[in-house]
Amino acid sequence: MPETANRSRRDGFRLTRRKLLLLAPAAIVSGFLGFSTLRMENTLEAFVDTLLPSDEFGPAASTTGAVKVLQAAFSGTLLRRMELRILTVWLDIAAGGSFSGADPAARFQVVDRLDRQSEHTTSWRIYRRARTSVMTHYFGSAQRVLAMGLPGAPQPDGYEAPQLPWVGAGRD
Amino acid sequence: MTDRVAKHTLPRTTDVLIIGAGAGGAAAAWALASRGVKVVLVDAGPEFTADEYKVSDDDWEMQGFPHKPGSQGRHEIFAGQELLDRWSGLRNLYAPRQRRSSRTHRGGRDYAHVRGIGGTTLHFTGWLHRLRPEAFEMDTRFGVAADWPLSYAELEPYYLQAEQMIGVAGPATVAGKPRSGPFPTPAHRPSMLSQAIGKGAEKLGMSFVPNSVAAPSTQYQGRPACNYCGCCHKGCPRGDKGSAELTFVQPAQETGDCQVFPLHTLIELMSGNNDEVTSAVVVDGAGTRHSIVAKHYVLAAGAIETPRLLLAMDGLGNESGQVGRNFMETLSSSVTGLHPDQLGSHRGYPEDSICWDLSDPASIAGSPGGVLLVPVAASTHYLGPARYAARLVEGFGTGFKRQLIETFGKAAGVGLICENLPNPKSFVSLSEDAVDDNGMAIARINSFLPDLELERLAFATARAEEILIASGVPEVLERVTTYEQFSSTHVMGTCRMGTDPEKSVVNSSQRSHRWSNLWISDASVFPSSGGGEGPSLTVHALSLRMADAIIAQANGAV
Ligand SMILES: Cc1cc2nc3c(=O)[nH]c(=O)nc-3n(C[C@H](O)[C@H](O)[C@H](O)COP(=O)(O)OP(=O)(O)OC[C@H]3O[C@@H](n4cnc5c(N)ncnc54)[C@H](O)[C@@H]3O)c2cc1C
Ligand code: SF4
Repeated sequence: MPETANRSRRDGFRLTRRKLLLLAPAAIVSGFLGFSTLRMENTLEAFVDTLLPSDEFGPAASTTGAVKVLQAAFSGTLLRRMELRILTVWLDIAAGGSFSGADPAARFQVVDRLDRQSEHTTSWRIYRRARTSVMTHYFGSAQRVLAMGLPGAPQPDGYEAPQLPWVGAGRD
Repeated sequence: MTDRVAKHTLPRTTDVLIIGAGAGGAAAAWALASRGVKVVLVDAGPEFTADEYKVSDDDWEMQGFPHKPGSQGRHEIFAGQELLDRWSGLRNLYAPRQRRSSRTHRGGRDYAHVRGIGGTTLHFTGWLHRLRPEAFEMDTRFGVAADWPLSYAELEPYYLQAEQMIGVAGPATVAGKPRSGPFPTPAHRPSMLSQAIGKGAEKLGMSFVPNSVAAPSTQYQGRPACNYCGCCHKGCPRGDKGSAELTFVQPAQETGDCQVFPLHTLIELMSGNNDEVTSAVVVDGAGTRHSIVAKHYVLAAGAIETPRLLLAMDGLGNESGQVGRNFMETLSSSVTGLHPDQLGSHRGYPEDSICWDLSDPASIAGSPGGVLLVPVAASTHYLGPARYAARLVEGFGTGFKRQLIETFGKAAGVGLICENLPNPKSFVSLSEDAVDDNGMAIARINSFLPDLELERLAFATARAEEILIASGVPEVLERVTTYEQFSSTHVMGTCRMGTDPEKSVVNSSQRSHRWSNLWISDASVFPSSGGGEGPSLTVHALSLRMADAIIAQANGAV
């Protein structure tokens, strides 16, 4: 697909400050509906598992407590809580109604669109904050990354002194 | 150290009261106590022990220095200058896809410091550098900053003594910095990251050589050798890194003549009608006030807190109006990308090599001031997979995990610190409305970077990018500069030393021009910053020299 066509399709999903304001009432109203918390959790669970699914490298993010971490990362202020709600509303709308109900390929596409948005959109900033908290939680466990074949905690053993000869200019 | 920290209350009298147990106060305490002078060393912060540094925990990577109650002071940062298109090469870039912030004005991120026994050296990286001889003559040579009232040659024996106390690991010689003796332990073998960046620099006619650092390369005076975990800024869990609580406070206590009081904050210095400070008021951790009378008072609270204390005490020692002026900060940037080779860049002593080629203050035409460059991965926090995942590796999903595993260990960066010349808009003052727990106004850090500073930073940042690319990194993925956000680890210059009482706060021995028993022993006395060198070794050396002056004065020699 030509890049321009691609971009205009994405622009339809761009969350500008104006669109964010339009979404805000929906987010607030959804907060007052009894079922919304469960729905929001389902969306978040599907979101973190789209970021980090269960595969040969490790477990799905949702089984590691990533949803709670995400909620904690957006719990500081009313604005932050709203942002998380807006993210879920956005994911649901972009997935045609229910992000958690969409198939994995469709979910991947939705998140990919978010991932590629301009850094100057509010939606990207919210997404990026969410992604950062999920990633640092998931890969911030020495046990988990060891199981992936990556190095765990550097102490108490430390690392060996560099072995290769110094290849710099050769003067002190 | 716990056993040796005083459990009793502050004595009512002592020979010397030292306020602040960081780089300056600790060295002064040892130099005095080891010659039989009775010293009381108070610090507003707590003590830390090696077992508090959690570099073995499951969540080690996202843990920083383990701050606890009292280990950080409060301050305000005012650094709101407009960010101009002209300096686009100094704007931050973020991976993925070289994104930029929408910031229009400079932000104030942090003044990184620790309050505690050992002060900010508790989480310093541990470069231990001498300044170049030329750095002591910036006014005479270039008409900028101020000359130091002493020469490199006068400080050299104290540099050597401090290096020996610490067990500095370093090469046989350092270009441009003459030595009267060797470093006490040999240089560390440079990491593969250092070697890769060194190769890139060579292509451009520059060279990286072993850095001189605070972790001994062999066992040294009861301290083990470094085991290359790279986590110095989190606090060294092995106790090998030569932070001041190990290298100076502990030996000072072992003399039996130095009593140490953590969580004891100076709030007042009283002065008499003559030229002497007469007593001090110190608040302990429980909020009880103590009065203590000393023959000499040494302020070593650091380049933010020392001027703040003096300004808050009705301008004690500020007869020149220079207290708080001439503030100098860390003018720095770092550029990072992914190297095609597996460097294992998460391993090794941070910044174990260094490029001194631009450290002569005459190196950059039209912008006096030196610059140093170092390979970076640890100080940009690429020590474990979480930071890679959050910042450097794009995307998500299974493909992303595969990419992360393949990429880990390849983060390669070049960092730099430049000379920072003082200017009238950079200074420390008192907050207009915020006070600390003792009702004293907190410090307000005012920072401004004039064009001359930005030219130097832009020149050096472009050099760093060239070196990174020449080393084989295909593109810069991340660039972080202190143009976009004030963020200082080295703070200097707010109680300048000098010969002229109209233009400086302390004399060449670091004694107040006005008060005959008030001394300042921290980075605030620097008349110029040096070319990016870590300030701690110079702070130590100056303090050792100041202790000689205190003893000479006490003996009636001055
Ligand atoms: C992340 C980081 C990395 C660094 N890396 C390096 C490096 O590699 N090399 C290098 O040379 N430098 C480095 N530095 C800088 C270095 O740590 C400082 O320059 C040095 O510690 C300054 O010494 P100082 O004595 O002026 O102040 P400090 O070491 O900060 O000591 C001041 C002490 O005074 C105490 N104090 C303050 N107010 C009061 C009061 N009212 N009463 C009692 N006590 C008080 C504080 O609690 C503190 O302990 C680094 C700094 C940081 C933050
Ligand atoms: S790299 Fe060496 S000095 Fe630094 S924390 Fe690790 S063991 Fe200590």
